[in-house]
Amino acid sequence: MDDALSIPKHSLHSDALPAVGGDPETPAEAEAGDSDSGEEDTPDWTRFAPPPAPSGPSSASGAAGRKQFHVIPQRGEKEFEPSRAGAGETALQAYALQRARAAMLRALRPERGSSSKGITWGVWQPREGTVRVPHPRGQAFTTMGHFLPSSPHGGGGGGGAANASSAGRREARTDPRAVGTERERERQLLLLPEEALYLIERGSMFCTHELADPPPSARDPHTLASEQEEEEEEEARWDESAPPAVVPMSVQQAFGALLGRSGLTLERYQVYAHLRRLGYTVTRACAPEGPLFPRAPARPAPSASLPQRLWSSVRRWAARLRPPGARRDWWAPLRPGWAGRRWTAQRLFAALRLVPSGHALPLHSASPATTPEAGAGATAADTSPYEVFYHVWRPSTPWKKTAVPPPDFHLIVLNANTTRVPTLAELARVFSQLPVQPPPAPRKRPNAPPPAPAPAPPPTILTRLRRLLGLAPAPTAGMQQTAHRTPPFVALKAGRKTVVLAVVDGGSVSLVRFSQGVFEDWPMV
Amino acid sequence: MYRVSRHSDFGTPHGRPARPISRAYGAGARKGRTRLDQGQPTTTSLAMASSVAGPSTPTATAPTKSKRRQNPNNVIYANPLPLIIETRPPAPYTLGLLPFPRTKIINPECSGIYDALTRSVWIVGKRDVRVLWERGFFGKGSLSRSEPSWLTRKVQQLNGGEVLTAEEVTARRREQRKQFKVSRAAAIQKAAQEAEAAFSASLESPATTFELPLVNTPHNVPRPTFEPAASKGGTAGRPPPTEAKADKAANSEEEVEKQLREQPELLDEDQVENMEHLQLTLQEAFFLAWGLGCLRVLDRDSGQYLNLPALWSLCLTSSSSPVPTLSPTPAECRRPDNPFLIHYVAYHHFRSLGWVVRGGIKFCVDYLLYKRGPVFTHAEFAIVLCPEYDDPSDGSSSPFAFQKEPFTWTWFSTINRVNAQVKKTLVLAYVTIPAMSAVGERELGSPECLRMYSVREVVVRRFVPARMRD
Repeated sequence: MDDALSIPKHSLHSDALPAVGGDPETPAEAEAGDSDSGEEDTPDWTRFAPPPAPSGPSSASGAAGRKQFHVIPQRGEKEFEPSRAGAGETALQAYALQRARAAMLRALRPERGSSSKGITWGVWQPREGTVRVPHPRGQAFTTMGHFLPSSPHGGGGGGGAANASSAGRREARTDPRAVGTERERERQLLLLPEEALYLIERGSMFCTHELADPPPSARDPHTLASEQEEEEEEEARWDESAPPAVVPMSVQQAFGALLGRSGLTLERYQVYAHLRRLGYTVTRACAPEGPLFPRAPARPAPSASLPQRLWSSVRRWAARLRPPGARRDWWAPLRPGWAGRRWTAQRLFAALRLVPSGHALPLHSASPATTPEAGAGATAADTSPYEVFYHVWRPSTPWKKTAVPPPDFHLIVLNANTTRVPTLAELARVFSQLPVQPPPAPRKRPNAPPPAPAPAPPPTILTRLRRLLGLAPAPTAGMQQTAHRTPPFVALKAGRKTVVLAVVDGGSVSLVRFSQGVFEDWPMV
Repeated sequence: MYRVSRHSDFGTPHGRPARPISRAYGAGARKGRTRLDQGQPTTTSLAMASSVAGPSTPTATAPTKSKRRQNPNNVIYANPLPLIIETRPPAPYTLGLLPFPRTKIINPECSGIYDALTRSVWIVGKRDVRVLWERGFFGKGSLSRSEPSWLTRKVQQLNGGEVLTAEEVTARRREQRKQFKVSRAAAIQKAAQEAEAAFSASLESPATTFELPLVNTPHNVPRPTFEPAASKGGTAGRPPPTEAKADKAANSEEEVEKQLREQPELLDEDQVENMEHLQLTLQEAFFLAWGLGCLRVLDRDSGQYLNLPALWSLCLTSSSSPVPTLSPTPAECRRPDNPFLIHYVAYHHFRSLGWVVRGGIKFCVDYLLYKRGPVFTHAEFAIVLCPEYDDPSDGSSSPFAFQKEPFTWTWFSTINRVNAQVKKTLVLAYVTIPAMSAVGERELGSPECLRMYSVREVVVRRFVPARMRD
């Protein structure tokens, strides 16, 4: 922002000057407060430089020693033009540039490795489009992967459908000591392509192609000498300590093989990887297979009870009927009040509200394909890119595969070059599938005492009758607690339902939240 | 006794509008960032403020003066609409049986002139200008930034005094910024040269260790200093009174008397012809004329005031091309996707919710929403209209040239970024246009067709995952 009286923020926090080649002393600067700078920050490679040999005398750290950096340090302002017009760069600028380049190359040159104890081995199954992980290692698998359901039929028996998916139909866990049989295979973790690709790219998983490791049941059991030999072979194959004697897929090969399977596109993978690297938990909104996929609890369908539907239909019919004398004169919307009518500011503005508004209004769309509740039969719904693809949870939300909380964000991934800003029909279809968010709680002031819960007035006969008929909601504890109201601007900005759109334009992801506006519920007068 | 009321919802019921603006801007020029400095107003503003506050303030009856009431803007801009609601105690013949007070709406009855070239309504009368600006912030001064302050500036420029309108405040701030930038660039240049010298010195003597300096450290950037440039054009017409006073002391009495007679009098606003008018867009004019009923529009050609049906068809045909052979012709303008109708639907919707709606061309959007008005705080929401056809085939037969399909993401990001920089929230207002088959000629002939449109707002905000982890 062009604010003349502001000083570049980074320099307010840097206390010491970085020494040449020495390890830095000061911790990273605080993040700039500007909301835009959070996305464009690139690391300062000079801070990544490994410390020099112990014989270096120029280290300025002294007693402070080497600190662990928890935040990626930010780069400062760059000089954007040579200081001498027409003469090129000065010696100082050339030196600074050379130093920065050397630091970057020095930071990127070492080979990145990972501990062999932390490596996971997976098997890519091209037929099913998933990666099978027999022995998952590491914290990443607490939020990744899913299991196939176990079948109620009796297990055992060779032949028949020999691939792993049908092996999963057989009963699992009958013999926990059975190692290397099909039963062992059934309990293995399955990873979706984007999850597997993320782990491969990160370096914590090696993936082998399934053709190099055919399932033993595919081989003709009569060719084998004995069952015992078969078991020994299985045991050797699934031995933890020995990695499989095959060459794992390279990252390029993994990209080529995994992209395009199970509806994974490059844009969707980029969004997935971007959010995972920041610590978010991301799963798919539509489970690819099986009920054991960790999905969020289904929302109860908001169906009105019978008395409510009757009442709303009566209201609609009454609104259509209009007493003849009360026809609105469209040339005088503020009808002169009859004697005794008390005008107030609120009534004056309310009398002016002639334009229908609000997302609860039905869309009067002529084409049937654009109705929001068209369902799966409409072709427009199938081919529309506006479908919620990912469920996203914040890093701080406790997430367990067995107890998945409702998603914090619903994410739609779009390609910026082939789509446009959504039309109202597409937005209405998306919003119809989302839950309503409660308005944000008013900010608690540290000094103010907690608001005493407002005592609920004793329910009158009329409210009791309405509750009986199901027209009024039953009293809940939450309704009595908020004595402070939400500030109107906060409620207007939060909206009623929110969806996050991830727009990917050639690799750069920009995330935007679209919320349903509630302006008609928060008038300014 | 019936006119003055303490309990009217609209605040001051006085019919005479207050004097304009320099006090208000001296007081509230900072738009809520800094509080009104009550203690140090300039002499001119203090004098005028006291003259205004005397006879016409109704809040003198209020026993406690809170901070809100001390702001003169709250007195001047107390009414959100030109109509004033006046409450009177119940009539005596009700004998106390009906304790409700009677209310009456006072209509200021302003009048304006329709200008075909600019497709706008001009308000020329001084009283009407003040009424329409102060009660609802309608219109824009044709020679000013927003509030019609040209006359004040001109008079004060001729008198040679200090001017405190919004334009001058802005001009002064820009001067300061420019000077600061120049001095900052010079300081950066100097620091860079010093660093160069140190670097070359360290090259020559390798024993000294060289530390790469940060060029923009706080001690390098100077504090902003403002040397007020010589005031230009301050004494265009007449010499300022201070010079006359200085000359007086050196002369004898006769010359003093002579000079006193010759001393030019300070100009008053009534003596200078006001070249400025208040310009209303057609949406604002129609809202005032039809929605509130407080404006009459004069047609220059016929010399008659337009009645509402004539004004309605005038507004509809304003989207037609002035060249008769180009489309859309006036006959083709009777369509539900007339741009005037689309804009008016959104304007009326937000005005009826109590927002102050003003043009948003400065920020690449259609409208800006203010909670109370531009003199109080900055606009909170920026509205972009997205018209949607109920019947998609209407779009192909439309003669109007507006964007009929949604934005590209690039353009959307541009608008979002511009408004995020100025801390406004972008709101897409989807306006649905009824199908031509559903709207007949009868409905289009009156504002009854407004109930067939609908407005849905979608609030747009950035999602920064790096900052929203908790």
